[in-house]
Amino acid sequence: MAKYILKRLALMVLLVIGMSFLVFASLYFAQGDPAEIAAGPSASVEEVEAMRHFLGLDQPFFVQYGNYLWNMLHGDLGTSLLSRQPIVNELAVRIPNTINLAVAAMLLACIVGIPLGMIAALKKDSILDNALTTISLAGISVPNFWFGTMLILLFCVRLHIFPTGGMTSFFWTAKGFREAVLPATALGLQVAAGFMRIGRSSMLDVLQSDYIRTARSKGLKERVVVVVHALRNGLIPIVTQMGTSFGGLLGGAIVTEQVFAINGIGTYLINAINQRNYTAVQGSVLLIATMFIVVNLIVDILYCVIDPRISYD
Amino acid sequence: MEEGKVLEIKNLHASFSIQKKDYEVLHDISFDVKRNETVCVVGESGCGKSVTTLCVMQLLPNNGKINSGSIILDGEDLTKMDKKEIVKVRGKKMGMIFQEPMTALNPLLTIGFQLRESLMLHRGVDKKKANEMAVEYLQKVGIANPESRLKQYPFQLSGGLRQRVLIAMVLSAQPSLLIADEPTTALDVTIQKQVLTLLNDLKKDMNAGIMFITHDLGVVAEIADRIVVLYAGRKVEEGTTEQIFRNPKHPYTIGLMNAVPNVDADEYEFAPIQGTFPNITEDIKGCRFNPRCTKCIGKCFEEAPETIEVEPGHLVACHLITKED
Ligand SMILES: Nc1ncnc2c1ncn2[C@@H]1O[C@H](COP(=O)(O)OP(=O)(O)OP(=O)(O)O)[C@@H](O)[C@H]1O
Ligand SMILES: [Mg+2]
Repeated sequence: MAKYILKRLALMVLLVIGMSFLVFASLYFAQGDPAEIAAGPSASVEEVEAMRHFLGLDQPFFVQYGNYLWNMLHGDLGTSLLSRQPIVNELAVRIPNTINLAVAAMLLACIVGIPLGMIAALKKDSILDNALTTISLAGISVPNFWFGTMLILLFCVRLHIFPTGGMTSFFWTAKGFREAVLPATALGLQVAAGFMRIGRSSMLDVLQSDYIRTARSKGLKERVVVVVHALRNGLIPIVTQMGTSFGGLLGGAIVTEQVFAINGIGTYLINAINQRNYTAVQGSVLLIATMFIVVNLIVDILYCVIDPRISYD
Repeated sequence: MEEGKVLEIKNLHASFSIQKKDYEVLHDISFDVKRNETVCVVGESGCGKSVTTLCVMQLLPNNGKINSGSIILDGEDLTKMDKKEIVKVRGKKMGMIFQEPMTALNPLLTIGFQLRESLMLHRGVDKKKANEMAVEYLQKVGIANPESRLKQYPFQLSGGLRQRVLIAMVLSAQPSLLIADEPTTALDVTIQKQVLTLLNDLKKDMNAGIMFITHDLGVVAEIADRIVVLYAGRKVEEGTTEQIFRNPKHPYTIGLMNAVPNVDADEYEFAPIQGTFPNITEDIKGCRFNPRCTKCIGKCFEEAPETIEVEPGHLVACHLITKED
C-alpha cells in the first residue's frame, strides 16, 4: 500500500510537470502579446520592447519554459502582468473559496446522490424508484448556471432565505453553511444525479450477484445482506467515478462562482482571460489541473482501502 | 412424515413470468431426500434443476414463483412460511453450495469473516470461538494453513479452494439438508474428484441428506444413492442408482445413458438424443419429450403420461411403460 502510494506520488509530480509544459506552450503560441499588456495601453514601442526584455520574453521558448519550470518548482508562478503581485499570493487568497465550494458540492452529491441511488435499487420498479430515476435524469440534463440562477431567484429574491452570493467562511461554520447551500446545490446537482444513476445500477448488479445469493443462502437477514455484503461492493463504481466527477465540479465551479459572485479561482481565471493576463491564466489553469490530479490520487487511495484486490499487486 | 426423511417435495409447480406472461418451469415435481442419502437430480441444461434447488431454498429470482405444492423440510412446510421464518431455516437447516465458486464469495470480505458470520449466526458462538471453529472446518475440508487462509480474500484462492471454503461454510451450520448445484462443474477434473470424495466423506459423519444437481452421469455413478431424472420441468424417472443405471425405462433416460460412453450401454439400441431441448416458453401437447422421442405412439401427442411405479422405488412417466413391464 505505502509503495503504491509512493509510486502514485512520483507519477503525480511528473504529471504536474507535463501539465505545466502544455499550459506554458499553449499560452506561448496563443495570440496576443503579454509584453504589450504588461506595459499598458499607452506605452510606446520602445517601452513595450523594454518590458519584453524585462520579462524575459525575448528569450528562446525553451529558456523561457526552463525558467518558468525552475521557478514553479520553487513555488513561484511569476507575477501578475497587471497587479504586479506574485500569482501565488493572488491564488492563495482565492483557493480556499474554490475548495470550500467544490468540497461542499461533492459532499452534498455524496450525501444525497448515493443513498437515493441505493434506495432506488432496493425498491426497484416501485413508484419511488421511477420518481427518483426521473429526477436524476432531469438533474443530469439541467445546466448548473441556469439551475443556480433559478435557485437565487427563488430562495434569495423571493423567499429571502439565503444570501444571493459571496463566500466568506467555510461551509461547516453557521455563516459559511448559509452561504454555501445554494452554490453547492447548483454545482453538486449534476454530480448527485450521476451518483444516483451509477449507484442504482451498480447496486442492482450487486444484488443479483452470486455472492449476494450466497449471503442470503446463509440465512442472513436481508438488512445484513444489504449493509454488510452489498453496500461496499455497490460503492466501488461510484468511487471510481469520483475523480472524474471532481474534475467536472472544478469546471462547473468556474461558472458557479460567477453566478454566485464568489471570489475563487474560477472568477480569477475568467478575469485573467478577459484581461489577457497571461501569467495569471497560466497559474490558475495549472492550479486547477494540479487539484484535479491530487483529487484523483486521493480517490485511488480510497479505492485501495475499499477494494483489497487493488493494493495487492 | 416418514421416518428419516429430511426433505419431501410434493407436487411442486413453479413458473417464471417473462414479459408479463407466466410460463411453467416445474410441473408436478415430487421426490424425497432421506438422512444419509445422496439424491442426484439429473437432466439437460435448462430442465429446471437449479430452479428446483432455488424453490427449496426459497431464493427464486423476483420473476419466479411457486404456484402450488409443498416443500417439507424436517417436517415443516417451507411454502407456508413467511419471509422471517424462512430466514431462520435457511442456512441453519438447509445449506447450499452453488455452481460457480469463483463468484460465490464476497470479494471484499475475508474468508475468515465470511466463515465466522455463519458460525456466529447458526452456532451462537462469539468471534473468538468462531475463529477457532473456522480453522477446524477448513481443516475438515482439507485446506492447509487454515489460520493464514482466514486472513485472505477470495481473489487469493483458486476455484477449488473457494469451493472448499463454501463447503466448509455450509457445513459449519450443521444443516440437515445439503444442496449442491453442480458444485464441481466449474472445476478441473482432478479437483472435481477431490471435492466429490470430500462430500462423500462428509455425508457419512454429518448424518444429513444431500441433494446433488449435475448433468454429469459419471459424477452420478460415483456418489448417488438415488436418481431423479428431469426433462423440461417434469420428473420422467426416479429410482435407485442401481435401478436407473441397470434398468433405465424412460426413452430420455436411456438416451442420457447412451450419451455417456463409459457406461456399459451397448445393449440399448438408442443413439444419443436427437433434437434440441425445448424452451420453457414452448407449448408442447402431450408428453414434453415427444418431439425428440423415437418411440412415440399416438397417445404421446395427446396426453401427458402418468407416473407409475414399475418396481419398488422405481418411478417412470412414459406411455410405453405399463405396470406389467
Ligand atoms: N429468472 C428467470 N426468468 C425466466 N426464465 C428463467 C429464469 N431462470 C431460469 N429460467 C428458465 O428456467 C428453465 C430452467 O432453468 P434452470 O436454471 O433450472 O436449468 P438447469 O437445469 O439448472 O440448467 P443448467 O444445467 O444449465 O444449470 C430454463 O429454461 C431457464 O431458461
Ligand atoms: Mg443450473
